[in-house]
Amino acid sequence: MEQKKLRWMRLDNAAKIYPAARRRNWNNMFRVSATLSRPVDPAVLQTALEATIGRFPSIAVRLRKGVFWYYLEEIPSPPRVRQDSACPLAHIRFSEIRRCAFRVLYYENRIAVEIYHALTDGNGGLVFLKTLLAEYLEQKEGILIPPGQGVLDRKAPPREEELEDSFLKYSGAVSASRAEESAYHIEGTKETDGYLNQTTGILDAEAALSLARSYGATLTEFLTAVMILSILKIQQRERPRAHRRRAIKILVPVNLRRLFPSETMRNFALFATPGIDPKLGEYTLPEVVRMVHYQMGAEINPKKMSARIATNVHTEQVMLLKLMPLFIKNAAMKLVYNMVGESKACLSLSNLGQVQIPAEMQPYVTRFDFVLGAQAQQHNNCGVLSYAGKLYINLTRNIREPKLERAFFTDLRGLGLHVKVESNQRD
Amino acid sequence: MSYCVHCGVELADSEKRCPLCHTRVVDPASPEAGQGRPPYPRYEVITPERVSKRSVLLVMALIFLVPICLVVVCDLSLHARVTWAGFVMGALLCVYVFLAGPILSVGRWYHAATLCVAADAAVVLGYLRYIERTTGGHWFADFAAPVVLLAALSVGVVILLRQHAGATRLMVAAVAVAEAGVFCLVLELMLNRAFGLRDKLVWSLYPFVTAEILAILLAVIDRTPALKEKLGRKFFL
Repeated sequence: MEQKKLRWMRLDNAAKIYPAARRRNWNNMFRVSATLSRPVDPAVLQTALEATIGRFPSIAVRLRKGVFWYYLEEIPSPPRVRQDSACPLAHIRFSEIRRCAFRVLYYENRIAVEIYHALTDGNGGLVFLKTLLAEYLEQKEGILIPPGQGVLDRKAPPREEELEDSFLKYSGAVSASRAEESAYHIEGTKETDGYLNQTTGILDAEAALSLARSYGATLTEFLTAVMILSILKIQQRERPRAHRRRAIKILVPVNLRRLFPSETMRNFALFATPGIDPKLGEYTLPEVVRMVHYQMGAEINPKKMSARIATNVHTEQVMLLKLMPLFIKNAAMKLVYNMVGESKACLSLSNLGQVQIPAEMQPYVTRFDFVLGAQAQQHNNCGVLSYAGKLYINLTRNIREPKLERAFFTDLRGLGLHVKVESNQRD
Repeated sequence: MSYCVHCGVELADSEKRCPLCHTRVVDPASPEAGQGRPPYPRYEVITPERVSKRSVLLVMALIFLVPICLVVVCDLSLHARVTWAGFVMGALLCVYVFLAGPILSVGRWYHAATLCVAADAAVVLGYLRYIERTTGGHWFADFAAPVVLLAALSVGVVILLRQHAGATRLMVAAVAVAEAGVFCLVLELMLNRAFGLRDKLVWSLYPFVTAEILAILLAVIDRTPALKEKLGRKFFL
């Protein structure tokens, strides 16, 4: 009998840092979830996962260790779907990632996919979730959902373009400098058991977008500006002396598929870090929105991005580094990550934009969410998306005090937006 | 539909308290407030299984037993009795006691520190006595015992000062530096007496004088809040 060979692939350029940067109780994960109009049937979800998984050979993988690099190896069978736990992105051990680097969870009406960031980015994760949902709904409801709007054809074989490392393809000839000023980090009492607090703000998407446009900005730029001012207030309270305040910068991931014609399902995102220097004086919202708008405009263009890709790719291609055994590379990368990796921004604000799904699915799906885990040193993170006229802002934190959540949502409230909050706070 | 009276945000039906400011939801018009379906399953406290200190010590003892057995077998096969293997065993015993003290007092290390220092001193004294007897020397009572006891006493004083006298960190540092100076002086004195080297103090005066002046400086800084604040501002890291 002919045995099927398990496919393997190198980690993409952005993914290489994640296995090295891990901690004993932290791995870089993110989560996308969809809430359905009816309770989830776990048995159907399992068969849907089995039918979908073959279409995503870059996600249905486990992390393996080579002599010089980590690599991804296809898993022989899909993992069991599991019931969700009390907090999103509950700690996954590294040994588990080496068996399967993603998990599919369900709770009442919700299906969630939690993915190790070395496999793909938020956009790739969302395509996987939408395709899984389409298969689930086809099996459960007996409807036919055509491919399109982020739903892939489960019967078609995966295309090579989906598996490519687009960083290598779109790397420029000139490298950009990595030098950046360090940013302020919100401090607090760390949850001892690794509990990730999630607070979701639900807003009217149209109202938020209109308000952003009235300031001459996109929704991401506007939310970033409000977030900067919220953090500024926290810093002013905690560091009364102005000269001791640090820069406030937000890491805004940029989906490079919008700048380059890539169809990869793997990581293909870089980031911009708009921000302000609080030492220079007081700031108003219109001023910060304008600054964020221009900073992001100057940063997010194909030329600048390809130069930044080149910086990362050239580092990876230095022969001396390539020849170093993995354990030495790991130690060096971890050191660099600890020193500079997370120090350049206060937190990430990742906006997946407006989620579109085929019309046939819409009656069955009521909501989408995008949740980023806390980083190793940054205690807060923010995932945003909008669906069916609602804007879902998911703030996560691994500290007890909801300082940022309170400042940010009450600021949005103060700007005249209606905010509904929901959380997984413990009694 | 409930709203937080402080933050002004609408609260989901599952919220018993405002997630932003922790104000309890009281809505007479909506008694079901806080009864809605929570977005995640209920949180259950899971107490992680802890490895007992006794088993850690046992594992450690077994690991130490490997080199002990090897050196004893090697020594016996060469000399038909325990000779140099005794030194190795004694050294390993000292290391074991050094490690066992902190392991036994995990979580209350701060309070058990003096006991640990006493145990460490006792085992070191025992080991040195063994070496003296085996090698036929006469330096334990005149030199090794007073030096070890003085070192243990110095560390003990620092710990007690911090624990019970509530001394500031700077004052503790001053005492520790002063003790280090005195220790150098006593060390040379003992060396001279036990081994008849010289009849006067030579090298120990340099660290002694430096340490005592530094200790006085630290104590003065500690006792002068304005100076302490000024120096703190100038030299913060």
